Amino acid sequence: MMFILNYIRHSGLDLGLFTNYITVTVIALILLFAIKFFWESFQGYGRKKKPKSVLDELNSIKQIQEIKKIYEGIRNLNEDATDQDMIPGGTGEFGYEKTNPIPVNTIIGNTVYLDRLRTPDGTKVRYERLGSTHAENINCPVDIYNIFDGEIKIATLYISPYNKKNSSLAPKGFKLETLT
Amino acid sequence: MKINDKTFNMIFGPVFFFTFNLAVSSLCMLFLPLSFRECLVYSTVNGLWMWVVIPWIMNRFHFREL
Repeated sequence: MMFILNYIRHSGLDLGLFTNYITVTVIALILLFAIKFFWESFQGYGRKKKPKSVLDELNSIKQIQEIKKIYEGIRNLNEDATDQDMIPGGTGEFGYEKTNPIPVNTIIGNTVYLDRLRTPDGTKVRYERLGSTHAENINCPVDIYNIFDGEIKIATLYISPYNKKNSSLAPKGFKLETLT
Repeated sequence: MKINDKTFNMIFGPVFFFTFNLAVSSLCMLFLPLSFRECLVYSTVNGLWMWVVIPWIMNRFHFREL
């Protein structure tokens, strides 16, 4: 350090110039950050900083946003989607005929609905997806499920997952567990 | 000829910081023993490094997050 200082002294360099440069630079930097501080304060003026809720945090996750888009896409797929317990214009026995399927909201809605399904004595049923089919009076595919009481097959139900809500009606011979 | 953002920043970044530093150092002439030639030299030097460093710092540092 001493060597450098001695070198500067003997080389004839003016240290005052260097000090002036540092002073000017520091003032310029302070001014720049002051401008930034006031600019940010001005932008945030009148706005209260809201604490982020758990929902906001979840919605900010990219994967959740993609799932939401798919979910919205499924919801908008059927123009005739209903928010009623039965599909308007459905013919035949509710749930048992493909022309009168049980309306539910998305494929997850299938699972939710079938998980709530009980036999008249309150036993939880087991279900297996057979595939899907088409009906003349329904726009979108209708899912077919075999329903079992233990190991005995008791019914074949038709479910339409492209609707606005899950039906709160149970097909004949079944009941729905009430949500608590 | 179309100028993209990168070219625009490369041209006007040093110019902006040079002008800003020239304004600051001109003000400093009031209370420091500076000549206008020195002001020009300081502004040029600062304009050259500030346009690289300052935007980088500004983008990473936010007062609101403090």
